[in-house]
Amino acid sequence: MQHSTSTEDLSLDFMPTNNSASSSWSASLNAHNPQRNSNSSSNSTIPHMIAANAANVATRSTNQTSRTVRSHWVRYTSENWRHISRTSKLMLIFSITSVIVQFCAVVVVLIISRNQYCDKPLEMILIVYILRLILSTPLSVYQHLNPTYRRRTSPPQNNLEMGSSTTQQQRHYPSQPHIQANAPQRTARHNTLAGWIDRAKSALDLFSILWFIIMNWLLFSSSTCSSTAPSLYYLTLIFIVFGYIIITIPIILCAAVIFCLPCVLVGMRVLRVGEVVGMGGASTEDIKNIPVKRFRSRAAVVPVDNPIDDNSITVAPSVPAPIVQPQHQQETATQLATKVGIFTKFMMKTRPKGKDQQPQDIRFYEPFEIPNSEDAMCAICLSAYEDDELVCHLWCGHHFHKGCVHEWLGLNRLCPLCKRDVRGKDFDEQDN
Amino acid sequence: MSSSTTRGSSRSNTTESLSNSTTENAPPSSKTATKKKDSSKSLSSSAKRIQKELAEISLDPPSNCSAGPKGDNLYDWVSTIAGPAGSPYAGGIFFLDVHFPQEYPFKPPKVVFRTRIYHCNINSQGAICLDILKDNWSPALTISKVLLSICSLLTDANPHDPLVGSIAQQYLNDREEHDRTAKEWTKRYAC
Repeated sequence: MQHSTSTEDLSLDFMPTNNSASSSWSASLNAHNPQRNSNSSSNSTIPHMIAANAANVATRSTNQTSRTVRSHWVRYTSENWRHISRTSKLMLIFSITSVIVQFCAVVVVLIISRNQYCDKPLEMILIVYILRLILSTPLSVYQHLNPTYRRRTSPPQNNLEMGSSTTQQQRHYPSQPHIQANAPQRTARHNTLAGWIDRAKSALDLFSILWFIIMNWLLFSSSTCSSTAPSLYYLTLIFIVFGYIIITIPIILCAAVIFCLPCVLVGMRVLRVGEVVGMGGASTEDIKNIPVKRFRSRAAVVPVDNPIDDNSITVAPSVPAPIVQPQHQQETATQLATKVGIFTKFMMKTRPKGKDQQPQDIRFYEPFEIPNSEDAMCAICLSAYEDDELVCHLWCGHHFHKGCVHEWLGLNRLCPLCKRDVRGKDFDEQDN
Repeated sequence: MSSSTTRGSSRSNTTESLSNSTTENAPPSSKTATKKKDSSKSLSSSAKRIQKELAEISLDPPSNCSAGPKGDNLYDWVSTIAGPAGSPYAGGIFFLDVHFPQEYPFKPPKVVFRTRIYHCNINSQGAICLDILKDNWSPALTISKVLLSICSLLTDANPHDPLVGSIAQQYLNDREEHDRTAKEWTKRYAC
């Protein structure tokens, strides 16, 4: 019903880390382009692209004498290779190795089954199949090295990069304005080349689908091949099975999602993941930041054995809880504490204390008085405060037993009474 | 003769059953003891808090409502709400089951209507769609405050966050018919 609040909360939790990460990228990558910082946080690949383009521009500007990209294709490939993402590197390696393996297999099988007879032209099928593979390999390599997102967004990006590169070049070679004119031509040629390669690749893909159907038909209509030319037959069969696996991968993924989702939901219900009350809890650090005070009822006046008590502020009955300790009073408090320190320690040890509180620690907590005795109650456990019990005083003015409110804040970071964010006013306004 | 034998047999039976019951009861009690040891602190605090609420609600019961433990178990209560005057539920007495979780007051109590009621935020199983019983729970709420909010829910339904969509539609489109049906149901089930 009110799930939106929890998601907002999640995003709030994650935002700081994202921001810090993006700022570190942008700081390292484009110091000359400060407006980019806001954009770079949106997508992790963008800084990558910027770096790649910057490198492209750098290579181009260094090879001003060269007119074509082709003559420097080794350098071009190596430069791009350095800047494409890890997944596309893996894909590239995988596809190249698979092409090599298939090529070797076809060559070996063709040599083995040179003199074997078959009623269907399986040899021709295999040769065409491998030719198509070999033709499409350089195209796919090119597409991997120049991913589509970079090509599609190239016009504005190149302009931007040109802007930055020209400023750099002007810094280095202030007497070469013609470079700027060359850059657009190069990008235009680059774009047309990319377009043709795209078209060729899709034509080859279409052809491969057609050829796959033909392979199926020929293989399953052949009657003698499996006995007369088994190696040819089985290699074609392997290729066909391979093709079927590739075709069915999306279907398998869909089925996996459909069948696993109910299991995940049931698991969540069993583990009671969804039953957490309301929003996320506060972090332990946030909880630690809440001031802890020592409750002191107004009736209990112990003048000698507790010198810090003298500094506790007695608030007029009309004024509710908030207590702020002025600076000079804190100073006098520390002076007094050092003077009577030994005496107090001694007295604290002899004096009987609350059940599970350390007598030595109590002294360090600021005393806390509540003028109206009816208010001196924890709204969580509904019991009245006793002397020297530790009380958490939230910024909104509400107070609870330390143990009670810490347990609640672990579940939900809102004040139980006024539902304001315990981390402070800023966070509260952010939430609203 | 016969009477003495029967007496003797009955006595032996009772002793047997007693010994049986003790032997049967022994392992579960030790089990619960070990279980409770882990959450002993929260258990005792929740029990304390429920006892305080019980004292408060019996000393100063809210208008139209009453509540108290069903039996020996402090965590299972039964509660009644009188249909608020001015609503179609007026004149009816509605019974509710209240179950406090072990983590109470950090987790909300489970409150369910035992009497059937025609209300767009209460379904046929008696489940109540009320934010303070779910995401908006706060440990500063007590069962008397929860019962009061249920009372106010009876007076003013929330058709924009319904549990029974058809009743909410009727509430918005044909309020008279809705009130008539609600009155009928109150007469039939809650009087």
